[in-house]
Amino acid sequence: MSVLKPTGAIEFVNVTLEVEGRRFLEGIDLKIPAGQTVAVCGQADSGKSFILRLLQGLPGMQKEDKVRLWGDIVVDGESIYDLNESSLRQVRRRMGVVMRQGGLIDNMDIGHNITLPLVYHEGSDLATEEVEKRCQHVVASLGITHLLKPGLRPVMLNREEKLLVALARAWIVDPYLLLADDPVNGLGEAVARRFIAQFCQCPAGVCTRIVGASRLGPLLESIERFLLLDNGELIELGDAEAVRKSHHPWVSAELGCQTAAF
Amino acid sequence: MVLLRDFVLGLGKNFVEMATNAWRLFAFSVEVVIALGYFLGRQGFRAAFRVTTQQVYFTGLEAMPFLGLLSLLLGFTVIAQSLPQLQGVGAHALIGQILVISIVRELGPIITAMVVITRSGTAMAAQMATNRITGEVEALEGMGIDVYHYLVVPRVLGCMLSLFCMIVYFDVIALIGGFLVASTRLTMPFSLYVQYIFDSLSPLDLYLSLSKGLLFGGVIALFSCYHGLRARRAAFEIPMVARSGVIQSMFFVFVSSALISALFYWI
Repeated sequence: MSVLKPTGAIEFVNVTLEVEGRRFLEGIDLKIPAGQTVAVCGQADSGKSFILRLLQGLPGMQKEDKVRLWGDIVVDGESIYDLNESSLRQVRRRMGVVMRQGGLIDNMDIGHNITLPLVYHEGSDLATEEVEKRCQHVVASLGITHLLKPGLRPVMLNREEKLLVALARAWIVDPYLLLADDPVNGLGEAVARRFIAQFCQCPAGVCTRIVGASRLGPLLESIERFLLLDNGELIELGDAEAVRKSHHPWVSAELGCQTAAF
Repeated sequence: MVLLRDFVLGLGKNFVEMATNAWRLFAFSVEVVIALGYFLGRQGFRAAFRVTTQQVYFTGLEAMPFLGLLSLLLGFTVIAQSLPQLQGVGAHALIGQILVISIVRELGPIITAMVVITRSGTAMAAQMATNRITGEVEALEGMGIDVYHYLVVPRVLGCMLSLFCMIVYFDVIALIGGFLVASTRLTMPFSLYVQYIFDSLSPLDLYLSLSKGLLFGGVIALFSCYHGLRARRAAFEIPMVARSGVIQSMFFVFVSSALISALFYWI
């Protein structure tokens, strides 16, 4: 794999995933070209998170978890699951991840949370001033400079702030692949739209972005391509215009709710 | 007949579960030892070193006042109890031996380990479990951070270093506590008291006592992290894993202490 200059082109080849005896994905084929912004939509517990986690080599899984995977997941022409643990960590270094609740480290202040991946991976090569400069740049771009107070911990933030800090942490490593696991779930409509717009701002260079979402409304203005995960099958919905014209019951229900909300 | 079959089946199931747990703990320990091997040379050293210093601060420095009081009272009590007996047979010169045997060899490492288990072991297990349940471990792994290198090894090293220093501190304060009694009861001069102690203290006593510090510190952190990271999804698992960590750590400390004593002072 071209670890030095990855582009983020992704391919799922006939992927089937079974976790604890339950099939979440059923023979999925998917191609995402480098630099595209994609939403994987579907109702809660449909397996959207697994699509994102599979791209990272299923982090957080324990050895006793009963996971069975068939097929292949290819990033930049090479299979993620052919890599050993050490190479996989190298690949993950420049994958930015925003988890549903942020996944921030609770006993660290916000500044240390944001700079953690940079300090961990490049701490010996980067001067402290350079780390601070990059941190300032990212938080200024996201408009959260006020959160860089010493002693301010994630537990003191609201959910939007947590997500923005997680986005800053993902962004600081200059990712080639940016993933967000259902960030809009539980957020108000305006806040969710604002967050998705910020998510879609491009970091320097080509970056492929994938967002898992259990709601459609906040995504329609910013996302290029929509996929729907329904009973383990991935359905191509197309762009926002095609989504609006879709007759799929889940999409109709979602857009109906959105119209009702307005 | 059915009862007997159920009993045998239950026994077999428990045995398999115990063996599986032991194997997982062994595999976890191997991963930690490997991560320990590349702790210094790896890119993430700067970030991991920060966690190590935090652990030393929490486990060692913050426990000093409590441990100091505990050791002072223990040294005081041991001598207050034994001095009347020693005076009765005119053997107060044995005061040094009693202190070395009871405090330096056995109680120092064991009581310090108990303080670390109850303060830091439970906290470590609870924190690891919280990290797992709230998705922090997944986030770290997702960022390419080696959880063994960043979360576990710094805690193991921090705990080893802290326990090592805490045992020295415990022994010194306990000996001062003993001196307080000896000086008031026997008007024993400090120089004579110190001489009795040094006459009874062999290099093996010091070596074993401090080695126990490193061993107990490493094992307490290892067990606590192992049980903490085994939590899976729900907050109700946190007290359960903390309890498992404490019980296993205590069991190890007492059994290994007895084995070490038997091996070096008895056989």
